[in-house]
Amino acid sequence: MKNVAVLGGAFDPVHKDHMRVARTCLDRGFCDEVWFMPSPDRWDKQLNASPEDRFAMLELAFSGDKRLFLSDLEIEQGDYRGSYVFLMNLKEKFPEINFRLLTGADTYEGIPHWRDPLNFYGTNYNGHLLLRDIELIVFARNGYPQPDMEQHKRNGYAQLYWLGPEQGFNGVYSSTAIRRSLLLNRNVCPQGLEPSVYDYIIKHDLYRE
Amino acid sequence: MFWGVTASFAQGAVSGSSPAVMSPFGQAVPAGSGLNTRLPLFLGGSFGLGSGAGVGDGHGVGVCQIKPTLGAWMPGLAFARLGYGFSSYEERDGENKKTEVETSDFSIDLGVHLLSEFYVMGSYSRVSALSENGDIAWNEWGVGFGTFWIVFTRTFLTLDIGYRWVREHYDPFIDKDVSGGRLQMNLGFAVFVY
Repeated sequence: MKNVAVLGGAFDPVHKDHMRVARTCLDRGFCDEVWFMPSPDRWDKQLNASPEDRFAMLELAFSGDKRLFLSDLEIEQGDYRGSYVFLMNLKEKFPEINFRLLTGADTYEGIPHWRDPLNFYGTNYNGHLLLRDIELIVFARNGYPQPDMEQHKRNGYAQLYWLGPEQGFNGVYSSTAIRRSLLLNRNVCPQGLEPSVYDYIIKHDLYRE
Repeated sequence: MFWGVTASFAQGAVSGSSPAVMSPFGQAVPAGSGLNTRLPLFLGGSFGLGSGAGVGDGHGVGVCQIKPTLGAWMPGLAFARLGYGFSSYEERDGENKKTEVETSDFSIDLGVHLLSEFYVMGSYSRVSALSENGDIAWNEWGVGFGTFWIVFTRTFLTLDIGYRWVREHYDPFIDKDVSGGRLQMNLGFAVFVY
């Protein structure tokens, strides 16, 4: 069965670490392909660029690696339903694929509290179901600890793979920092941003606020 | 009819020559005369005990909740009650590691008085249990019966006992789906705020 890592998120904007983590994940054999799945507008997070702009920037950042795929499936879904509903729908749609969620150490801590915002007035919690049903590949983020692998296993959750400095990945960039840099000085391409993405941001006058 | 059926739990001194009952709405009224219109709105609270699914370690006996309530109650006739309860308890996993669980419970109770101060009720609750191990929520449906006692002119105590059907949900602590039933007893009070 083919293993596919789903790298979801806002990509607001996409940066070099997004691509690097995907390639490292592939090189380490944690998956056979990485599918980038930008999210639609979210209920829990104010996004700065439209889904169309974020998708367009991802297209520009793609390097031609045939193991990387860009998908608008989650955007096409329309309403933001959270990762669990989306991944279960993917599993149903592609039963021959084993999907793994590729996510940062910062996000991992919050997964037990995830929910479907459109079910039962947002009280349908499903983060624990995601941990139980979906394998995770967690990558290092600055300032966030490595998940407790033993505790994760004891909790009865699905397999967890760690992608940290010892596996050749150390995340240094963040979309938040890049947006902040753009606010301070729009004349210089911030570190971590692909020049083509930077050009798109300037051309479309994004991240002004 | 309304005041007639409440006559059995009348209390306090009343004046006048005709038979009268003490109304929880705060005044003595002649039996059979209509309601001196006032809003039947109340604020209150209850303390619940349960035995069965949805308590503590998934099953057991324990304090379920402390629940502030509000609603409308026409003693002798019917009531509608909204409640938002909360409590916390500790769970232990297989490694005996303690985790605090905070629960909340939004409920709607509808009751009808059948025999004077006795009532039957149906209830619905949306229950949440939040913890480091994972937040979960589920539905509960219940039926029960109860009674109340007037203790002051605008205050009365309630006692209801019922059975709750706990709808299936996955409990990450015990790593299995939980469903079942629970016997539940609630002791509460209500104060008319008109």
